[in-house]
Amino acid sequence: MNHRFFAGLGFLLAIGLTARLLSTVLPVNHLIVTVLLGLLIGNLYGIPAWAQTAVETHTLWLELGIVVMGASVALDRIFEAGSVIILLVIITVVATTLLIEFLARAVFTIHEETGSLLAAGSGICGVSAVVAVAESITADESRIAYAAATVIIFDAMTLFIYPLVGHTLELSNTVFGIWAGLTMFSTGPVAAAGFAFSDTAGQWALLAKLTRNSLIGFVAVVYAFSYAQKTSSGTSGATKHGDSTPSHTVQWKFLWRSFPKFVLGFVGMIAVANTGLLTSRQLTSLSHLSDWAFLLAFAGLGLEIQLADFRSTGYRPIVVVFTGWVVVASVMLLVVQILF
Amino acid sequence: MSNLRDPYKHLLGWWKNIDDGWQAVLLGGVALLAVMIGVPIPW
Repeated sequence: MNHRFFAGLGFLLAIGLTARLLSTVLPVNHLIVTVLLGLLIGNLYGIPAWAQTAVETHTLWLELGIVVMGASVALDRIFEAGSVIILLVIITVVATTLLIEFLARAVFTIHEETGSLLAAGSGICGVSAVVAVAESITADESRIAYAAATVIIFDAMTLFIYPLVGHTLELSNTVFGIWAGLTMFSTGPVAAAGFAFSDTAGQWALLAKLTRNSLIGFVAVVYAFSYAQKTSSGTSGATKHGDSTPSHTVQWKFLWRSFPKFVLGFVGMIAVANTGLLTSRQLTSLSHLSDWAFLLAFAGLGLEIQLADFRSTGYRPIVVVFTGWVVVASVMLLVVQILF
Repeated sequence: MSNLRDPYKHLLGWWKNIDDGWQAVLLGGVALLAVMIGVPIPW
């Protein structure tokens, strides 16, 4: 924690405040303008060396924003729709993962590890799912980078496409939020697109997305079992996955390690806020803090999107993920519209 | 001077070693306490 770090935070804040100013004259939400401005600066001029450490903390600001946002979530809303959302999340995660696996292996004949990483990234929570599953199947470094780059491309695209589709189809806040939370990839873009649509949509989007994120450990464990079994039944000698046959203790530890801990803070904040302990003024203050944290997070998110990634991935993973995403997003939009 | 800096360095080292999810939970807790004792956060 030094002067450079605070200068870097100032840089993120300057991007966010400029975006807020610009959004008063542009017909676009300030969160989207923040990401766009970060993206422009990051790709035209690069990230200054002195700001690098602060830019890397954008995930922390996103997580803090989500934790504090818990204070704005009404518990009765969760009780009302919670079981349906959980069911929809499980269906979406399983359907997306299986569909991408099928497309990658049977239709586009991509390497199975890359297919699994793309499936996890699309089905659960973007790059963090790619990394968690990569660890559980001990995937190749180059394939991790390949899959992560593909996921980031879709994060960048969907961030702008979803609010556009939502407004064009005149979706309600609830439908848009749940749909975005179920079918977009990484948490940052989900929050940005959700809150760009409306505050209520943002809350629904995060509720659905965090439920999805909570499954990351389970999916990684299923992949670990599946790959370990395949290796042990395929060859008798020592192989890449051969010495990683999962034991139950190790798997439980892995499950806990991959679990996104900030979700606990989010749940805790919902609990505290719903006891009636906080005045409306205090709740408003927490909501403002969440807005500031998101501003820093989205400035960093934009800075880290490198358009060069578009060139490095090749077309097949993009076609696989695109096909899977179009199918799942279209079906889920219909389902969510019927249910809500 | 170095003695005074040691606890700070210790704390910083500990902070850097914990998961960013826990960092967010701790910062959220501090924010909650601050707001509860009356610190206003404007937008």
